[in-house]
Amino acid sequence: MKINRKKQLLDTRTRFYVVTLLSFSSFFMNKAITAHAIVAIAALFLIGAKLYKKCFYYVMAYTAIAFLMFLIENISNITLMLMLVSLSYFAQKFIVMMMMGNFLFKTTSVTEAISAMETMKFPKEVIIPFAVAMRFLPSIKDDYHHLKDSLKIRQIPISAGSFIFHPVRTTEYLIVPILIRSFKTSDELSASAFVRGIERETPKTILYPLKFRYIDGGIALMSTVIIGVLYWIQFK
Amino acid sequence: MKTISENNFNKLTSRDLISIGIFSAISLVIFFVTGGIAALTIVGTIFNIPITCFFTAIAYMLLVSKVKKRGAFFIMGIVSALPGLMAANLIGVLASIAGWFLAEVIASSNKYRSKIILIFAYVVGCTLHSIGYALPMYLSNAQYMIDRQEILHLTDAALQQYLHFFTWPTFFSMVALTSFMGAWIATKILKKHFVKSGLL
Repeated sequence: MKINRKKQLLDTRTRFYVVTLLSFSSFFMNKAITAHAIVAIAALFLIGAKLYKKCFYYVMAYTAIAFLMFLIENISNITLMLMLVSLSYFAQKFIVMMMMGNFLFKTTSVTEAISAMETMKFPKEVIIPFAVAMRFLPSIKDDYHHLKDSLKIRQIPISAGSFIFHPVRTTEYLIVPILIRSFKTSDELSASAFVRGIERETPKTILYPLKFRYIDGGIALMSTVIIGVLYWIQFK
Repeated sequence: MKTISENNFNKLTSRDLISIGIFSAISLVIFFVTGGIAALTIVGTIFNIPITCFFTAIAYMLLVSKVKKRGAFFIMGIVSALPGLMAANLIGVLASIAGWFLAEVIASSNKYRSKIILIFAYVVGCTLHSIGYALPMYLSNAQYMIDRQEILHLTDAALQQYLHFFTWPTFFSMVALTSFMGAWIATKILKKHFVKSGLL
């Protein structure tokens, strides 16, 4: 059977490697020049994935934070100043992680991720729950919207503030119904997976065979060298 | 010779693995939603992880009440930690795997029977998971301040004040406290909504 699928430029493992390398290194890039450089590299990956709008927003947010840091010395209250600097630190690190996370989500489907895990010989005890979790996420979103409508009909307001001011009540109104529904879903999914042969020990068909090509080696090597140079600038 | 109940306790079936997947997904959603909401406040930004530990407890406690088998805590912990790889928090993922392994050992010692031990196992797993995740942030945060002391025009006194504020005991006790409270309240909620209705 021939399967119609979009050809990816990079192997899934290369994407995992690049994302891991950049996000992990971002923690150590604390000098201004290395921190800016790593955001620029992450932006190039987003542009490569054609995520132009997201790239623009993230770069703008990063630039705004960097600009605010230049004005921070005007704040006389030291505690407030330190709090703002700390917030900016967390925001800057999260921006790189979010950028690379977006790149990975845009370029890697759940099926590809599962194929990669199977090729890398992950145990079935990890692959099955991971696959179910990733596929079940959109279902939770639908359940939440239905629940929200139902709560609205009963005039029970749910907002971000209710998590802060009434955490237990919000858990009961919002999380418990989703958990109760998930009980039934898990039984249905088990039955469905069982008839599809999930219990069989024979090797499964891999729809997305992984292939490491020259471009993968090139991108991986180039990223490693650039990050290596940034580490050298950071710690020299 | 092993009894039937011992064999049942040792072996996770595909059905159990699917349940673990579903509750992991719910736990991840709770983590991201509550973490995102908490991040809107200044206190919530710094103590983001302790706050999320409070809310994710219900998904964990429900799972271990449903799947009372060896590996439930450990596999759910791994699946919940795996998205951390996307953020490349390798130290965090390894620490959380170690944390949930310890939780698994604690829960298995009593074969997932005692509620108190399950709460304790969640507190241990969640605390080590959170500490591992936050470790690069905290270590790097101090270095960030030192590296940029000159650019940000920070005085030595201000820097010392900052480094003094970000201490491990504060973070550690906050996570342990919120995860304990979360797990304890979760058992009450489960009793009210699941045990009484016959679902558990």
